[in-house]
Amino acid sequence: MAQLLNSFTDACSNAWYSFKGTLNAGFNEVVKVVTPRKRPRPSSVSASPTSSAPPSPTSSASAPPNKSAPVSQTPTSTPHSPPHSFRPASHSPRKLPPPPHTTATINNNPLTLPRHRRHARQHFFRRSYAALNAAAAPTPFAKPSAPASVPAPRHPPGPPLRKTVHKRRPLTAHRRLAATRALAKSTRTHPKLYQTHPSPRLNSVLPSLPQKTPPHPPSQRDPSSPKSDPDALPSPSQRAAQLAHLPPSFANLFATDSRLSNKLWKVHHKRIQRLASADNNVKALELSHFVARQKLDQLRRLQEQNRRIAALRHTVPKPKPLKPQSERPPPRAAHFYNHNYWLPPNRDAFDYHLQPPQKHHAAAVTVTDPQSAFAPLTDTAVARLQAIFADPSNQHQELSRVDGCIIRGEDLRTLKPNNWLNDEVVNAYMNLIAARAAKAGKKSSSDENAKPNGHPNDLSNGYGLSRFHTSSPSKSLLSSSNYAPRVKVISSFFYSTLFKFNPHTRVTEYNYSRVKRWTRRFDVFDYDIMLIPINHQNMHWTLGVIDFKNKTVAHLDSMGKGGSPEVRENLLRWVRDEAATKEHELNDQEWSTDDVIVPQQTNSDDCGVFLCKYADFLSRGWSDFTFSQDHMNYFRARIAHELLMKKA
Amino acid sequence: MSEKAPEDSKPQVDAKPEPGDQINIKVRDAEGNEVQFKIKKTTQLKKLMDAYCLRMGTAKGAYRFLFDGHRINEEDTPESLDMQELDCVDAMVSQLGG
Repeated sequence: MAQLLNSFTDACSNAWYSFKGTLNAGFNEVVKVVTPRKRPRPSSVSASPTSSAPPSPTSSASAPPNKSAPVSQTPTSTPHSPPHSFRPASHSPRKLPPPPHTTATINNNPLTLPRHRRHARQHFFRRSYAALNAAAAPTPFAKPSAPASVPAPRHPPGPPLRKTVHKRRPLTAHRRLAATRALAKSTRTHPKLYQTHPSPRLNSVLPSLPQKTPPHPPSQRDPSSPKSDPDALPSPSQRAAQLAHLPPSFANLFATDSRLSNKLWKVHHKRIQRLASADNNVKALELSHFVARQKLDQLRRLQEQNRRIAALRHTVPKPKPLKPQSERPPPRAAHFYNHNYWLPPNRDAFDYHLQPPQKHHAAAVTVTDPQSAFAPLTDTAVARLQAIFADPSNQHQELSRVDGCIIRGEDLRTLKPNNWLNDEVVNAYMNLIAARAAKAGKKSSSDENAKPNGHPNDLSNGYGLSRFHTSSPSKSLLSSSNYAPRVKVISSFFYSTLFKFNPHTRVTEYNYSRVKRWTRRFDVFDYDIMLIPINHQNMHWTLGVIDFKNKTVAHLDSMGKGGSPEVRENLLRWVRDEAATKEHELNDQEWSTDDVIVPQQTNSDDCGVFLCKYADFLSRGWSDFTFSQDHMNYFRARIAHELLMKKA
Repeated sequence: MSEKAPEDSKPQVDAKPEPGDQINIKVRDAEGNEVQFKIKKTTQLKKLMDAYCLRMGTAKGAYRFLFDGHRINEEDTPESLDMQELDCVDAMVSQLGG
């Protein structure tokens, strides 16, 4: 009887040990008391369940090995609990001591746990106690005289706890497949269920189990377990032995104890094992493959890294160096210069014509002026422009300054083909041609002093706007080359200030007083011609011209033939007001407005360039506009070049 | 319509400028709103232009400043431009056209 009791107590105590972390303090004390004494009746306190102290109400039930007791095994059966029923500790969770070995990793203090964890914990304890009851009950009956060397299974042979973990979530197709596989595996290796903890949640709560129980309980599983674990890494000595079969340069990859080589070894050690027993040819082939793959991986990683760095830096490809003249593509065919030829606008393209179109160039050659408006750009100038246009870093950098107009990279880039010109470019170019005209005027006046009789600047000769509307411009005008009108240019804001939307009256109206001070430092009547760039609603550029010699006002519009009568009237009105302010006599009968036919643009981008070139030709004294839409890309490049050189 | 901000641009606080040294300059935008600045006659107008851009919350260089139709350079001073008391500087926005 005592022997039976002893063995039963041992079996029980093994089982209790396995659940030690889950049981309450009183029971732990009992077990501690029991084991050193090796006595069947551990304590007198446990003899009577009713007299047990409050901290250990259920512990007393463990000890009595009453053989007739395990009849009914319901956990919640009676108030004075039957011997093998263990009540869940949910009603007094604070009595639970922390598990002895896991204080650092797992917070078992239920007071500090969040609610959901507390509930999960209670749920777990309920289940484990129920399972314990179910497990403990058959033990004295199934194997009452089992030897102590065969310990009880750590987990009850009941339904695996794993199932309860995933019960709440619905099974998706993927998870159903995974569950089926797991089930198949568990049935294949069913005895292993007793070696490993089936439930991850149980594992997380009971990390201290392996320290109390032997890692492999059944002794007959011990020899098979290393073989049955094919994923185990060879020991360092095995590693060294296997590496000895490899060439040293290759083995060095795995030999060092660094993180990388350990990782490599972890991935490749099976290969290495196979290689160690292979013959030399296979070995060489495999090694070359391996090295190649390593290099490829490294290369791929490097490429990916470079790609990311490039994306981070927003790198812009460098501009290609300019090809020498011989390698450049041949000039475009003649139909390219046809008026009807159009290209979809590509505002980023650098598509300048380096040479002006030939058919117009021939006409321009008759102008025996070195400062010809059609002089081709040099290769150096084009290369410089190309470099500046391709450099995004000069966006806000001041590249040139002409009379206060600051040309930054963004302003200069409006001169790329198919871009709209802005006021900085227009005003700066106007100032350039005014400066050139002033210089030419000085020169011609000195010539005039030398030869007073040969004065070319004769009204009867005709030079200005009166010739515009003639259908066939006289060639004699161009041949009278050294006429240099005195040119006054004014800012493009002049007309938009003069003729402005009035927010009070809601009307765009003429108001001389706004620009009255604009001419206080000079007298416009001292000039031959006044050029007024006009911006229309931030959409269009035109040129207003006031010819003081011929007493005409014209409006040169590259898009509307003849210009706007309203603009002409406003300009004429300004002339009258200005004359009144400066106390000049003005005969209204002499002044007239002209509608002038000028070259027209065929796209919607080049009006600013047309404006600049009207002004350019007029400031040279040429009223014959021998250019057309085909010249515009060339003129854009030329204007950009002249802005950079600050010399028209 | 015109808002007064005489304390907006403080040219230099160090040497106490004499009253004759300073002039008030108005800056008028396209809508006719005026902002008044007090500036020393020998201070570069760059300071005024930057202060105006800062006040308008725009980047420097967003406005073209004209005085009597002439573009103001950064290194110009009220003295060099012969500005008088309460002279008006026009702040123009950029124009574009095609």
